Amino acid sequence: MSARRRFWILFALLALVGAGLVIAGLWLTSSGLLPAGLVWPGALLVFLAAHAIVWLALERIWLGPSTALAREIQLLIHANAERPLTVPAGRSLGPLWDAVVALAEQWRRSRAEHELALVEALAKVRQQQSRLEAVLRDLSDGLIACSADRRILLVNDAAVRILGALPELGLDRPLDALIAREPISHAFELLRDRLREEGPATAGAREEFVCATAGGDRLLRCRMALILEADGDASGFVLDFADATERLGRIEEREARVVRQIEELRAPVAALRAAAEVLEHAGSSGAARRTALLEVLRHESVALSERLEALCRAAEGLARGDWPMADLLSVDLVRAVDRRLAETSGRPRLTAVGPGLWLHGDGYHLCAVLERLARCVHEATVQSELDLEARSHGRRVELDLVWQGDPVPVGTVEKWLEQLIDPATGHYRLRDVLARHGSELWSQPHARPGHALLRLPLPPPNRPQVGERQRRKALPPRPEFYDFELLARAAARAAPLLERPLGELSYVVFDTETTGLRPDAGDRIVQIAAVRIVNRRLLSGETFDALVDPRRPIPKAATRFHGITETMIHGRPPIEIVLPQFHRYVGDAVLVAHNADFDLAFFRREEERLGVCFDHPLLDTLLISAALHDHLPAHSLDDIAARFGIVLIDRHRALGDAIGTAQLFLRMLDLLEARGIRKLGEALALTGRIADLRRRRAQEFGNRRAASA
Amino acid sequence: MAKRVLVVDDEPNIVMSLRFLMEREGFEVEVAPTGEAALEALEKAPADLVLLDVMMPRLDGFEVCQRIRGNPLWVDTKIVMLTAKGREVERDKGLALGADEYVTKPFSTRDLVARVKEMLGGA
Repeated sequence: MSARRRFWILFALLALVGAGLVIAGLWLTSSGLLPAGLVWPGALLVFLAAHAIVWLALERIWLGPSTALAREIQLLIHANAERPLTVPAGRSLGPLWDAVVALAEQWRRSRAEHELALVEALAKVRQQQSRLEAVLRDLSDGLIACSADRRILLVNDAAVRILGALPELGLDRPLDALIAREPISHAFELLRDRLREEGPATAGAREEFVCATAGGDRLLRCRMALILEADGDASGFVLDFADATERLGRIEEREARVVRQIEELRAPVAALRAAAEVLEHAGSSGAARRTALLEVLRHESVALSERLEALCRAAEGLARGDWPMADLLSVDLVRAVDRRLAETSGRPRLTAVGPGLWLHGDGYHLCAVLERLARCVHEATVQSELDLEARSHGRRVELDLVWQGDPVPVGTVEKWLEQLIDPATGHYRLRDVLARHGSELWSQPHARPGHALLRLPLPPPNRPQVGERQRRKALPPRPEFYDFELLARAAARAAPLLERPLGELSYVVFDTETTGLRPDAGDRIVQIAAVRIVNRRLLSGETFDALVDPRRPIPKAATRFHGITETMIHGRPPIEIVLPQFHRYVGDAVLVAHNADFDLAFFRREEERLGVCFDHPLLDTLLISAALHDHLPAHSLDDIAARFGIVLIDRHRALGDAIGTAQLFLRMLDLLEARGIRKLGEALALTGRIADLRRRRAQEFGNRRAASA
Repeated sequence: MAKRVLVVDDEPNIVMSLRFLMEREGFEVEVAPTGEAALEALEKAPADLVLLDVMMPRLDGFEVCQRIRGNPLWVDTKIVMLTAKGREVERDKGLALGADEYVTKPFSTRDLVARVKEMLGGA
């Protein structure tokens, strides 16, 4: 029965009761059964009672359930979407109830769909991201992305390989410390001006240039492109570079040598020619002059021969020019050629014989040449099984194509060399590829009777020949190698350091181990370790960890504390080397340590002598903890970690403590911000106040002790 | 009997000097200006030593060398390559194809004569 009908019945009943009471009252009073003074108040009471009953019924049918429904809806919105709507007693809400249940169901379903779509989209984005990361890691050119003010946002593995694993090569470090500033800023300005003048169509433009590293020791071949923001302005740039020192240096050197040698030919040629021309007419001037001229002819022709040899040596390899060549492994070449042969005609098949040797050449074209030659040999000799053997011959590596049969005549080989590599790609003949490698090709009998070979000598590799294939020396993994949020910082960086928000700064959290507690009494540092925080992320791939030779014995008590023995520091560099290295690692970050004064006291002792100055802003986690929880007495690293629920690993090892302190520091940043301390200046002021307070308390304590002594 | 030397080169100036040098040592000298002429001359009368240039049109010195070595009748003929092709690969090629000696131009006449005399055991 619907609510409407129930209400109608209720009000009908009420009306009937009212009417009934009036009729009854009138009848009772008119019949004199009961006095009027009793009847009408009575009737009123009954009427009011009837209203009360109707109200209760209303409450039960409508008000109660609707309030319950409202509460259920609220719970649905705010708490648990999965919880089913409980049916209130008295299902008289009818259509309203059904409608709400349907709505709730629909809403739940759409939320589930929405969440699923979000999860899928996130998964896709993450997949793209990890693929992109893999591509970036794998590039053979170095890649560095920077903000407009030349702070590094991205560094790929190849960049580290080319520039070296320097502490300056990391996120949020200045590029100027690594690569010469002027060519970089010039290229950036050029691209940006072009963008402004000619509009977004030029956005894809690149600027190519050669520049030196900051130390001036190497030349880099660079290409720069802009990073554009949605508003069309450039917020930074991407630099793609390779080491050109060797190639440019080699080319220049070779050209200079050849030019010099050619010049040196002129002198003997001149002398020869002059003597020969004079000799023509010398018949009349006497035997002595003739003898002298003949001697000149002989002498200068020998000199000319020698200069010619020198020129040939100087010009060696000039023909190779700028072709991209790399170290290749012979077995890889054979495998690639055999695969091509198998895929196209199935014959002949090539087998690698003997250990693989490294050689130097253009892999693609050498493969094409070998494939062609294999086919030619197959056609000429009908042999479908060929071997390919790599042999060392002095400095060179020879590839021998071996078959059962007779050697191929020189004339036939010459004809083969005239063929085009691949008519589709143009004009390179096999002969041209050989010329590029400074090579020749010939056929001769093989040592094995009844067999013959085609010999192709090739240049030796740059790397040393080793029996096994060497894996590229693995760089330590750098899981966090980019952070594009740093792009937005350029403007903020212009602000004074103290005004910068804590969350945006870069920190170096460090810890030291020492021989004891008294730097003034001869104790020295035995280990410095540190970890970097950039954009609130702990960069696990950019740590600093160095043992230091203290040049004095380490007390057993100290060793028991931090586990560093004299054997461990044997052969380690002294503080004179490690402290400047650490200084470079810190760069312009803010320093953080637990009970920083202790560590800095050791640094200060060496500062003047070593010419490094640790005047960076310094945050002490001990003081911050005291500021945040000043009602608690305990502020050791263990106490603070317990408070934050962080598990410290490798306690009392410098790197373990540095990482633990860094994790605590990140948590403290949140708490500080909750307390309204957002800027570096504010944090420094806070810790300064606490330091003063503690100092005064310590002084008072000291005075009191002195007084009572 | 005097040893026979066949000089194969298409440049008349060098041929003149070589002929003079060899005849001075008492060798019998024949000259062929091309590869084909050299092979014909050897057919007519085998030589004890061939002074062989490489850079000749049509049949080059490498091919002549290979063909000489391919003929069992001429197995005792010594081959000295005298050539402007001076790279190490080219020397290896010459020796691999059967030359007994590979001399790059320009060369010392005294050294050449000494080597030839050594190879032929005197006239």
